Parts: sequence; C-alpha cells; structure tokens
Amino acid sequence: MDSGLDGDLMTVFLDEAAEALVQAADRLLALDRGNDPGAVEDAFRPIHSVKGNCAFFGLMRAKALAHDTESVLDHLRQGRLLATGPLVTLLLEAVDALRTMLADVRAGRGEAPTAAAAEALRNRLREAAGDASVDGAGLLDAIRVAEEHWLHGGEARPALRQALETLIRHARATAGASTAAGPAGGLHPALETLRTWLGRALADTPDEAALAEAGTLLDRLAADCPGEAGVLAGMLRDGFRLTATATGFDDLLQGWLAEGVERLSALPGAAAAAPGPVAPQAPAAEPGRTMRVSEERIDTFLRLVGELLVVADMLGHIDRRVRRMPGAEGVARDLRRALDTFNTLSGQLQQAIMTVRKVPARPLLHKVPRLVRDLAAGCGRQITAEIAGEDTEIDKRLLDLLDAPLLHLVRNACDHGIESAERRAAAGKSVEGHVRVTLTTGAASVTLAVEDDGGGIDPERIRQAARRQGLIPAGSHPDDADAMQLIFSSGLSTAERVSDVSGRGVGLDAVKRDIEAVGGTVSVTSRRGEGTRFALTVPKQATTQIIGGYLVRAGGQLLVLPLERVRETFQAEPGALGSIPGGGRMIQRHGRMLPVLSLGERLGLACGTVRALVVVECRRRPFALEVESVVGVQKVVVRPLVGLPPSALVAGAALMGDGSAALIIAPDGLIDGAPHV
Amino acid sequence: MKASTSAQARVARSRSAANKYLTFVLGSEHYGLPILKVQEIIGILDITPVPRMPAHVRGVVNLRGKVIPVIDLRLRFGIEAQADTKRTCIVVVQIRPAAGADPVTLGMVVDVVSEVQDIPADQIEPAPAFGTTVDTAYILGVGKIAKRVVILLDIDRVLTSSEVVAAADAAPTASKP
Repeated sequence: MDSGLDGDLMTVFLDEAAEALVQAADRLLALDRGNDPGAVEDAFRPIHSVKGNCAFFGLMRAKALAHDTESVLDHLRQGRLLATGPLVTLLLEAVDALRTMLADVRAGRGEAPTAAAAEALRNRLREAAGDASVDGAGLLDAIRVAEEHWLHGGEARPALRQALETLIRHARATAGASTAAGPAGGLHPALETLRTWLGRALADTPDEAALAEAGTLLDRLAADCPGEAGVLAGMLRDGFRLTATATGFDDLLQGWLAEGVERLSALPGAAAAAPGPVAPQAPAAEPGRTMRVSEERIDTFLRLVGELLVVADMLGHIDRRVRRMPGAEGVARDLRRALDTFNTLSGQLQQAIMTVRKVPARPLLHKVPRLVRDLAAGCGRQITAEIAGEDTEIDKRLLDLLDAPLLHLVRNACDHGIESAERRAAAGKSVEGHVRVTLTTGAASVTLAVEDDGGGIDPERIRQAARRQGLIPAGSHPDDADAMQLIFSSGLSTAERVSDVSGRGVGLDAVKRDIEAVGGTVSVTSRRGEGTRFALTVPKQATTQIIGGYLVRAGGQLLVLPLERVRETFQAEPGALGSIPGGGRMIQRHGRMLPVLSLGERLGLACGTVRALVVVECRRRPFALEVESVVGVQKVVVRPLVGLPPSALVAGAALMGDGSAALIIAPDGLIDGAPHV
Repeated sequence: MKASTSAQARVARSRSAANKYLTFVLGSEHYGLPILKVQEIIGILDITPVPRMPAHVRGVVNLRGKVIPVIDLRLRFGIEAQADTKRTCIVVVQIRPAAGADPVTLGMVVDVVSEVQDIPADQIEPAPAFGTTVDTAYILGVGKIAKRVVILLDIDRVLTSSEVVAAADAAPTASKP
C-alpha cells in the first residue's frame, strides 16, 4: 500500500487536511444558516487543496470523493445550484466521509474501510451536480485537465500549457465584468512583488524568507481575486506549496509557476479587488507567524527540560558538600549564585515550553454546533448551540482528553435535557432549546461546562431508577444531592427509550472515570424545569512527572524507591533478625517489630550480601527492605514502560547518568502476594 | 530535469521501499521484516530486566531518552536461548498493537542482522498451512532468494500476539507511589 510510505510529508498533509475539513464543515454550517455569502468560497478552498494533496499521495478514492464534493461546491459558487438544506447535509456528509477516510489512512487502515460508503456518496454528489446548468463546464474541465497533468508531472507540459491557455482565455472573457465592478489597479504592484519573491524563492539556493513571502502573497491573491483569477492564483498557490514541501524544486513546476505569474499579471480582470500593495521589506509586521511542530518533538523538549531539573538537583547536592568544605567559602558563594541563576532559568524554560504546548480550544468546541444540529435533526427538536471560550488556550493533552466527555455531555443534553417543542411550549418556554458550552480557565485548572435549558433532572426519578436497578438498597432514601450523584454510577439509565444517541446507561460513569483518572472532578447541578449544568474540571498542566528517588542496589540492579515512602535506613545488627514459624522474618526497630522483605528476591533477582535495611511504607505500614547498598537521593524523571503489560511492582523507569534505565519500584506492589507477611 | 529531487521521485522511491526487507538470522533460519517497520539497528547493550514478565521479555533499555521494551525473538519463537555474542543486535521496530492505537517502539534481540534484500512480490509465497499444529498467522509469506527461503514476519502480529504489547494507555504510569 502506498499510504504511510512518505511518512513525514504524509503526516503533515493528514494534519492539515483534518484541519481544513473541520474548517470546511464549519463554513458549510454557516451556509446552512444562510447568513454568510462567502461561505461557499470558504468551504471550496479547503476541499480543493485536500483534493490536490490526496492525488499527490496516491489516495485516489479520497481524491475522487473530494473532487465530486468540490464540483458541487463549484456549482454553488457559480450560482448554478441553490444551497438547500438537503444539499448542505449531503455536503456535510461528504466532508465527514473524507475525514473518516483520512483518519483511516492515518491509522494505517488505508482507504478501503469506507470505500463503499464513499462510492454511494459520490453518486449522490454527482446526481446533485447534474442538476446544475452546464455553463462554464468547459472552464471547469480545463482546470481539471490542467490539474491532473500537473499533479502527475513529467510529460504533461504541452497539455498543461494548453489547458492554461484555455483557462486564461476564459478568465479574460469573464474579466470585463469584474473589472467594471471593482476598482482597477493595485494588483500589478503586488504581482511585481510576487515575481521578485518567486525569483528568489526559485533560485538555486532557495531563500526561506522569500519562500514564505511568495506563499503568503499567493494566499492573498487566491483569497482576494474574484472569479477565475482567484482560481488560477489558488492553483498557483497549491503548486507552490507542493514544490515548497518537497525537498527540491522540480523544473516543470518551477517553470509552470513562473509562467503562471506572468499570465496572472497579464490578466486585466484580475485587477479588481486586488490586495493592496504589499511591503515585502517588512515581513516582521505580519502578526502571528506560526510554524508546525510535531507534538512528539515538543514532548521530547519537555522531557529534556525535566532532565534539567534533575541536574539542578544534582548541583544542589554538590553545593551542600562544597559548603561543608573548610576554606571553600568563596567558591561556595559563587556556586550558590550560579546555581540560583540556573534554577531560575530552568524554571522559566519549563514554563515557556508549557506555553508552547498550549493550543486554542477551538477544534474542541467547534464540533459542538455541528453535533447539535445533527442531534436536533435526529430527534426532531429545535436546538441552538452556543459556544464560548474557544480562544482559550489549553494544553494539547487536555484537548484530546476532554473530547469524548464533551461529546457525550452534549449528546445527553440534546437527547435527554431539552424537552420536546410541545412540552417546552406547555411550560411557557421558547420552543427552541439552547445548549451552551463554555470553557474557562482558573489558576490551576480548566473547566468545561455544558448547560442546557431543558427540563432538569428529577432526583425522584433517579432514586426510582436506582432502586429498580438495585443500585441502592430498597429501604434507603438518599437526599436530592446524593441522588444526583447516582447518575454517575455505572449501569444507571433513566431514559425511557433507548435512542440512537444515548440512554444505554453507559457513559456518564465513563466520563467521570476518565476525568478523575487525571485528577479532575465532575459536577452536576440541575433545577427542575430550568435546566442542567455539567462541569468538568481538570488540572491545567501536563506535567512530566518528577519524583524524589531513593536509589538502592538490590539483586545486583540499581533500583529507585519513591523517596516519600522511605522512612529510614539502618544496618542490621547480627542476631537482630527473628523469624516466625512459617518463614516470615522480622526485625526490632525503635521498639517495634517490622516485617522484613528482601527487595531483590521480591523482584526475582539473585541477591547479594545484605548491607542495609530501608524502612519503606507499603499500604501505610512500615516494612524493612533488605538491600545490598544505598546509593543516594536524587530527583528522577518518571518514564512509563510503554509496550509492556502493567506491573504492580514497577511504576516506571528512570534514566540514570550512565545512560542505563533503572526501574522505579511501586512499594505497594511489593507486599501484594508476598509470602509470610 | 532534476528528477532525483522532485516530489514524484520521492514518491517513487518510497514505493520501491515496499519490496525491501531487513533480513536477519535466528538459530538456523533466515527471517525478514518489511524495511518500513524498522526504525534502527543497535548493538546489544545493557538491558534492565523487568520482574514478572513473560520469559521472552528481556527488559527495558534507554534509547536516547525513551525507555523501550526489548524482546528476545529466539525465546518468542521457542528457539533455545543463547548467550549474546558480538554479532547480537537489537532491531528497533515501530508496531501498532491494534488498529488505531498509538504506535509502540520496541527492540528485538536477533542473532545476526544480514542485509536489506529486495524481494519482489512474485517471489513471495504464502506460508504453507500446517493445520492447527503450527501457528502461521504472524507470517506474511515466505520469500525465495536464490536457494534460500526467508520467513517474512508480520511483526505487528508477532509482538501483539505474544501478549507483550499492552495498549499504550494500559502501561503503568507512575501512579502515586
């Protein structure tokens, strides 16, 4: 299979495509609400670029689907089709199918799983496109032919040129009208600039700044030029992107780009609504220049910064030793000062990298209106969605974490929360229900709230359901607040009917479990007849876990005990050890008998001579662990053991200065199943 | 035309990688892995044993700051263990424990790494069926090179079915010790 071969490029493309498709769906929704004339154009562009890239990566099924979607959008844009509700729904379905398909590709499943569904969609799209009048079909064909050839590169130059000629002739023919409509001039200076930048960008040693500038200019041209000139600029831009992402510049594409710019500047009609003259000498003035960095790289960076803290800890040890050295006061003072600076800087560095991990919550919240629209349609209710806080920046991990719970709560709100129109009318409420999702951040936490103005939760119904399902004893009568908490218990369902969406009694308990697993809380407040509010609060930081480690050697291995569990270390005096019938061993310490365990033996390692006993708290009781030696105290960064079955004995691994990995022992696991304890 | 640097050429290059296999030896047999699964090959190094794991789990190593499990492929295939030699290698692969799951990086100890072999699809035959006595589910096929046969492994299956690879989220994170 082809996909997955060109790994890096492919990943970048899939990321971009996922974003572009979300954007497209978003714009289609705007179109549905009928208040945004630019929506079709905005939806068209992302689909177009996804299509081009799909072809580049050999994802021909996705490309075909994108192509048909694009055709319908193009008809819409040209006014040959009307944006009816069903048509928008069809387009949304197509965008969803594309997303699923690309998600499958990303997951290594290829395009096949959704192929049949995609084919069916394509038929419907083609049918819809068939309703359009055929004006301008020649132009569309010309664009398509040009693209096909261009995408497959190689021998296509003559065909490409011919297609371009057609395209430009066509553009010229339609140009008159647009020139009349808008102010002339303005484009030519921009094009001159573009040519200069392209010249530099396409030189033998490409100039990064020039590449970026030329890309930006083409973006603006594509966005601002009316009609065909915009399409041409869009194609140029896409071509440019492809050449820019590939490692080198292909001669054909280079030539084509240069030629395209010539043509574009020769296009009189392109002048209308042109971007104003740009000042390439001041690229710094452009706000919010960003770059795409893989999450993995940032996490690596974060981990390395974590290691710095370990170094700071080691330096602290040295510092304390130096201070105790007679005659080294001057050095100690200097070291202290250097160390303070180092600590401050590494702290700042950690803060800075935490900021890098932050992303706007937009992708999370923007799914909500769409979901609500679909759910409302599904249950025949009128529900509007409102989101707030989408510009709030939160850790990327939280974005992923909150996704499933959010969707679940929104489903619940639409399906159970909002009443039917009749009931709402009878209760004197507006027929239209509201679901509001807000994201807010506090000092150390992020809160995601899902509110509805529905009927609220009736504690009595919960009590009844819980009793019926045996979740509470028959006689007991929990108060309203306690009863509300029961909705988070596994298996409880108050839904009178099981719908497509929810009511299967799985979910809220899962939401609670997921949120609590990361140290968060879930709360619910509800007023009968007025609505319900669920709030998920999770800690803000994705922390690299750093713990104080107590390093010992046992069974010939270097092992880390969590410092917070270590009480003391002492040497066993000969004869102090006693054993009880059945084999358990014990030792007297501070007038108390402590059970004795051999750490090495518990780990199944061959044990050497025991030189020390470390008193460690396991399940709140002290145990004396026999070790061969105590190495010292050190901060360690906890690395999970990914790819191994979970172990009760091992909490992870820590990297040692010599490059080895030392296991971090989970003390509680030591006594579980230990004999004679 | 600077075909070697063009995007098309990149794609073409990647496509050709589809027929390439890293071959290695375990006992008396030659095995092959699709080269695209292989992340790198490192010499044998100190492996930290992890208690109470299946016998073929040698332990974990620090691969440039990442702690990865190391599997002894001999033991996985029920071949008698042997002491590491100078030629013993760790082949680092990326596998997917399940469709949609996060990829997991792990190392496999092999006797000797031989070479990267081009095995065209028409030189690969499906593994013969042995009935229920021999599990062939993890064999992609049998490649024929000259007189030799190379057992091509579906490494995702080899390692997943060995119950070694738990889903990444099930791995023990340092739950408050």
